[in-house]
Amino acid sequence: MSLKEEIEKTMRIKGKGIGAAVQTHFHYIQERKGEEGVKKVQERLKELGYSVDFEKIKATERVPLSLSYMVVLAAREVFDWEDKDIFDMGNNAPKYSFIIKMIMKYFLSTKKAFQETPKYWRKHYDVGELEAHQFSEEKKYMISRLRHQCPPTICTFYGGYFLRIAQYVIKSDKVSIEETKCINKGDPYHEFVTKWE
Amino acid sequence: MVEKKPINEDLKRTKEDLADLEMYIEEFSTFLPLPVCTVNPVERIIDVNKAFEGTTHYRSIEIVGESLKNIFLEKEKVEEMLKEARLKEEITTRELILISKEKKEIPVRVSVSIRRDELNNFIGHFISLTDITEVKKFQEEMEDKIKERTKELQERVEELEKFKKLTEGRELRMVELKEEIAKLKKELEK
Repeated sequence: MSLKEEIEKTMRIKGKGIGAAVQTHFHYIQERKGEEGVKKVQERLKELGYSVDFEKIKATERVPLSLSYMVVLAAREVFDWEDKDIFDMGNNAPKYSFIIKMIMKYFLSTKKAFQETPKYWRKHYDVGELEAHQFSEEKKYMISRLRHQCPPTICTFYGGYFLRIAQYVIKSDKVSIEETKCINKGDPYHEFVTKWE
Repeated sequence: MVEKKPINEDLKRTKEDLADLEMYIEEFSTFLPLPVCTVNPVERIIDVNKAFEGTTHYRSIEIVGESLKNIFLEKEKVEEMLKEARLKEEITTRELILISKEKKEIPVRVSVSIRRDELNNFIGHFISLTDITEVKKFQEEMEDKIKERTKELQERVEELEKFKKLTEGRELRMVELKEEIAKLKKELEK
């Protein structure tokens, strides 16, 4: 599927998210590819008819979720990024967000943080639902289920993102995540299993 | 419906205030010459300022999310210090060795305070670093000078002791010789 088709499909996704999400994508691109990289992504989106000036977007402003997703999709094409790069982009996203730093205080323990993730999702997006499905401190795993239609590339992004949230609250350097179910593969939800040692 | 407009206005104002607050914190953090970072309850770094980046040579993106102890040589002491700050509920200070991105060992004075929310829940720590490389260098130079001067003084003392022993021996010999002379004089007078 071409980027144009993928973005057109993404534009059909309803809902809004906080502007901070778009800002963090550009901060990541800036960090890895510099100002030139940011310009390249903006120019590519402009070619497709979408003008995105991330400096004018406010962190707390509600912007279409499709806007956030199209930046990731465009970056993937422009820099020929693989899944590991998109995963890394998602994994680094929480590091840039002021809002995340503010709400980190609610993550008092791993279990508490896990229980809070549905509220955390709701603070960011007005569509989709994140379910804190299972948690075992003893067996060291947790399962989250996301009911939200998004492009496959964004599943990879969310995998990295959820891993970072887990890495923030688990006192272990060996934390991993795997998407075991996916809406794009016909499952009723995305399922992310996080394990640690 | 009558209430909707003021609520929206309040929300808009709150968002603007939050944006202003973010800008203020960012500006202040950039200006602050003291390296500072914030860690969460599981001791992971969640924020650093520019000075922290300058001292550790880690960029924010590289160090945020890492365990605090990983940037110090004495990892157990870091845990002890954080624990002590939590128990005593006061600022705790220690001298530790920071490991920079290039694996350079930098002596630092680390101060730790605890953070609590409005419900008094423990929500992490503030950490500040003071590079004491120059202080340590000066201290070592002073210690070396003191050692050198002490050695010099000891050598002088030893010389004086030798001289004292020598002069004491000569004095005793002179006393003996005087006694001998007096004895010989007496014998000659006879």
